Amino acid sequence: MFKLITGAVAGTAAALLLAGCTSAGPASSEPTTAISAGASHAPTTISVWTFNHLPNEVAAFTAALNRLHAKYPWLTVKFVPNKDDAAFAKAVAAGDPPDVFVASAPDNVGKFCANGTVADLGPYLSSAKVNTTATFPAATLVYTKYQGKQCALPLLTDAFGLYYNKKMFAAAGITTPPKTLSELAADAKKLTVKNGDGSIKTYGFVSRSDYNANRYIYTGVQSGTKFYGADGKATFGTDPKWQQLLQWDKSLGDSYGPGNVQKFVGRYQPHADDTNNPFLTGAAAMEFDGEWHIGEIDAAKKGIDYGIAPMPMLDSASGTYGAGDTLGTVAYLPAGSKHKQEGFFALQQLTTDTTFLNTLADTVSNIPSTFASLQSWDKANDPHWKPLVDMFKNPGSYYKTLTPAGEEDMDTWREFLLQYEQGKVANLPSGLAGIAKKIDNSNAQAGN
Amino acid sequence: MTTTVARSAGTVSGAPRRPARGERRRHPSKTRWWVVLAFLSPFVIGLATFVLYPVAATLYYSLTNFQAGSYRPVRFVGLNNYRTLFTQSDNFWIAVRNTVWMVVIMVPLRTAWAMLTAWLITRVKRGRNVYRTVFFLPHMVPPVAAALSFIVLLNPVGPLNKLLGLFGIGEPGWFSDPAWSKPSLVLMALWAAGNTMVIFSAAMLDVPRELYEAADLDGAGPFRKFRSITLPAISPVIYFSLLTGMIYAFQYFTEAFVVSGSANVEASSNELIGYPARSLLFYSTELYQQGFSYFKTGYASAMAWLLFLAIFAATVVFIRASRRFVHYSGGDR
Amino acid sequence: MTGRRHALGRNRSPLGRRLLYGLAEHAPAVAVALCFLLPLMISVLTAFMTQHQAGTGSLWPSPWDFGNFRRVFTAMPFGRDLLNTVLYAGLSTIGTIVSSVPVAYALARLRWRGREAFFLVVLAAMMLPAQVTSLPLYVFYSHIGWVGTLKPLIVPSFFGDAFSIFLLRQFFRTIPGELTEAARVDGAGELRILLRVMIPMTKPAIAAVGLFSFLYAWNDFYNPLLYTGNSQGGQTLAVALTQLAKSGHQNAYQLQMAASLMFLLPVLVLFFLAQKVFVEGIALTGIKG
Repeated sequence: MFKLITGAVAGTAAALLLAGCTSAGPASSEPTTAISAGASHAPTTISVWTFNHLPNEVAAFTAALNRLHAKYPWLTVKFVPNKDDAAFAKAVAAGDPPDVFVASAPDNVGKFCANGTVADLGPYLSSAKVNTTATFPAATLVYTKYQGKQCALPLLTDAFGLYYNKKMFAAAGITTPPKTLSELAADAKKLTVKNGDGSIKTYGFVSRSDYNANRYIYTGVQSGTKFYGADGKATFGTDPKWQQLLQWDKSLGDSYGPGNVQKFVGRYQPHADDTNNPFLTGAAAMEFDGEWHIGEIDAAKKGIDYGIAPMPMLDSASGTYGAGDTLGTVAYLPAGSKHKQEGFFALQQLTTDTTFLNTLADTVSNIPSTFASLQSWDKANDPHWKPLVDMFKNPGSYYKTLTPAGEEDMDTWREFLLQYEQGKVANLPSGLAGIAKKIDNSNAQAGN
Repeated sequence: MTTTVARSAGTVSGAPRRPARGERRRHPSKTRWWVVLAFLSPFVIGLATFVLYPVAATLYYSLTNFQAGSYRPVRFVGLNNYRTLFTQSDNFWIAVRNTVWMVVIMVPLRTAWAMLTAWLITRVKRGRNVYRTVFFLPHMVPPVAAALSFIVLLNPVGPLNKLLGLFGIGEPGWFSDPAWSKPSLVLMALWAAGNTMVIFSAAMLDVPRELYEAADLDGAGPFRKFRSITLPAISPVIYFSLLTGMIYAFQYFTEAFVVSGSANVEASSNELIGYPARSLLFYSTELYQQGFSYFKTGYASAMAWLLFLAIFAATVVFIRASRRFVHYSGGDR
Repeated sequence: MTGRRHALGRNRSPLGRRLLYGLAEHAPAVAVALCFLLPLMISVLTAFMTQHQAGTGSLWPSPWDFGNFRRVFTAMPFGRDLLNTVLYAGLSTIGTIVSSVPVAYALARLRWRGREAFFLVVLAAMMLPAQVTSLPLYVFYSHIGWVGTLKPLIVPSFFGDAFSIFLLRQFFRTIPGELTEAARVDGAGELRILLRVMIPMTKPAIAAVGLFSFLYAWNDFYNPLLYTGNSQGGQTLAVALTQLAKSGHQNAYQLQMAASLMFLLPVLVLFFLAQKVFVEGIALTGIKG
């Protein structure tokens, strides 16, 4: 009897095993003829997913999509906010991806491009006669292209800078924002204010890598340090600037006394983007953040007098001051979409429509990502925005090379940073060499 | 309504079981095979589809570079995934270490706490049911809701730290501090240990009072009484609690995932797993990240298989080792 | 323990002694009870705080805000997610009972070769963590288009659940064999014996198994996260609650707590209605490992 059952069970299992392993091939390729804006088209509903989730962002998207629908009544968009890359990957694996996916950062462009999750937009762009280099600034094409394939298009872009409280600067007798990291550390120490009981009331600058947007300090762009060398290998073990950057970070963190930076991060990390943000409450005199922070500061209406400057460079670097990480939101056309033509049409409208880009840029407080929209944008000369827009135009600005392992390199790097910051890396040079090897291995494995 | 349950609950202390064995000897007739198969069929199909097939497929996947959802061809890579796990992944070892920490620290503490609270309950004479209800209540709170409550309670600027501040005790960062995050989860596990407490208190109340009274006459102290009367009576419960706790800790997921994810609302989902600083990166959360965020299905399958083997091996070792220590009265085993 | 009564309060009045004794008896238990209740009290109080006050460490709401429970319904599709949770928990409970009872009966009362070996398989399946099987199952469910629906959560429960089978078998074995034998002698078929003799006698046990599987599904986080966490129409509350924190309502602790309490309420009601079944059912799970 038992044999009978085990036999039946094993048989069924084997049959299922064979059935389950036949992997689905890529979605059948369709001819890529562009949908012309003027022609009529059969009514189609597509789904657009985005990472955006704050109510004002969702409202801006919804308004833009409604305008799109009014202009092209055949196109109805089912809009789904609050979807991150992992959720998208899950939908792809489940065989039911959206028709357009807007991701917050380009880290996975290389991965999605390499493994065929998203379509190469090249054929669509050429049949729609979109000249990418004439439409999108070069900095945005760096992070949307992988090995020659245009696998995504930029949809607004980001630049990161050092926010500083002018009133606190004046009180500490500091006249200009720091240009080198040692100046930044010296200013941070001057700006740090203690309470009567010895606890810290105001932190000059907290550089710990897991706080807010600080991870982008450690891509090395400000000092011209390249994440990957010309051979495509991570440079942590070979470029001495990484050691200098990390040592600067740790000595600044340690200067606050044991446990204080941890306390700061624990207390404020959940509030990095709301009105209890330490820069807004006065608990931090400087903060490194993306341009969306301008919008958050405006919305809080606390009347803070602040300035934005490029993030300082290493003392050993020269001539790189003013450069920064430039990366931004990217829009994908998933390869498994059932409405690729219509999906691309919507993608094209969203990424190139000047009115939409400008409205959305103002709502979510980002930088528009086409030449046309940058030109007609009213913020370009605003004193807060200007340094960031300049950074975006700076030829020294870039984003680290994309890899087929997606965001794993940044994840691995950030974990290492945190370990070092917490004093768990005994030997920094060998630790850096080890982490470079690890990242190279993971890229090599993902690549084949 | 409760007669059956109550009667069987009585077997805790080893009241003689129903003579199922003797009865079998009297009627050795076998049920016809097709009747048996009919009774078993739903489960046999389920076993094949939802257990045996996945276990076999996981083994197969683990030998390939399969990425669910990706269109690149699936290649057989031998033991590559296992090699990567053992030699190239810190995450893997950190996850193993954190999980072992939970098995070694959380599980015994939870058992001891359940025992202590059960003893407190047996000590009170009036209002025992009220206490039992209150002690048990937290166990009824769904893990997700419990985790969210604890995030509020243990918020670095939250109520508990405010209370601790009143007494001048330091204010730990709880879930935001890598040094405190796992102990905070232990606190949560202790809070919800009501089910084990109930089992302990049932076992303790089943010990005949005469045994204690006899020990009193012999002049035995409380420690001796505990060691030679209470402990033997509750040793099967300790065993059960440690065993199930161990299996549970091996797959510890929900609380860690929710705490990491909600304590840090700003980050994107990949950054959340293990937050803060991978101190809450457990085997299951790492498996989830590799398998369902990065969709490295082959690699995650290797992890899944190792988990399967580890649980199996640990259970066998545990059962073997505990045979010497567990006292079953009534000759059940 | 019995010696204490003589040692304590020899020189006190009977009343004083009783008080002191009562204090010694209850003080530790009351202290522990307060610790157990603290997180729940904080949750309840936070649910009545304003957005401004929640999460600041205040213990007492001022002013009291009774609108949070209403606001949960606009902040998330609470009603829809509740319905999904009820569907998952309800249907999978029915499925588990219907499919597990016959298997448990076959293991407890029918006699066939390989029964003990099969029981070991059930025990092994019981220990198998969901993480081990979920990778191929995810691929399988996505092939047949089930991901994003409640089907992967509900359908498997109709094919027997190892833990329930194990528990039911333990229950069934406590029923005197004479009863089933008598029915067998009267010529009743096994199905009839199961339906007419076994089930009526083990109703409380089946109720306990039903409660356990209902609670399991109600509380389940891993499976819904995997299969419906991403879907637009099919989330369950356990997953939806964690996403409430991340959908533009950062640090809206008061909403989270209000939603958590609404999520918890049905469980508590169930608990107080069937406390005995619960506690005794749990006591039973711990006996024969």
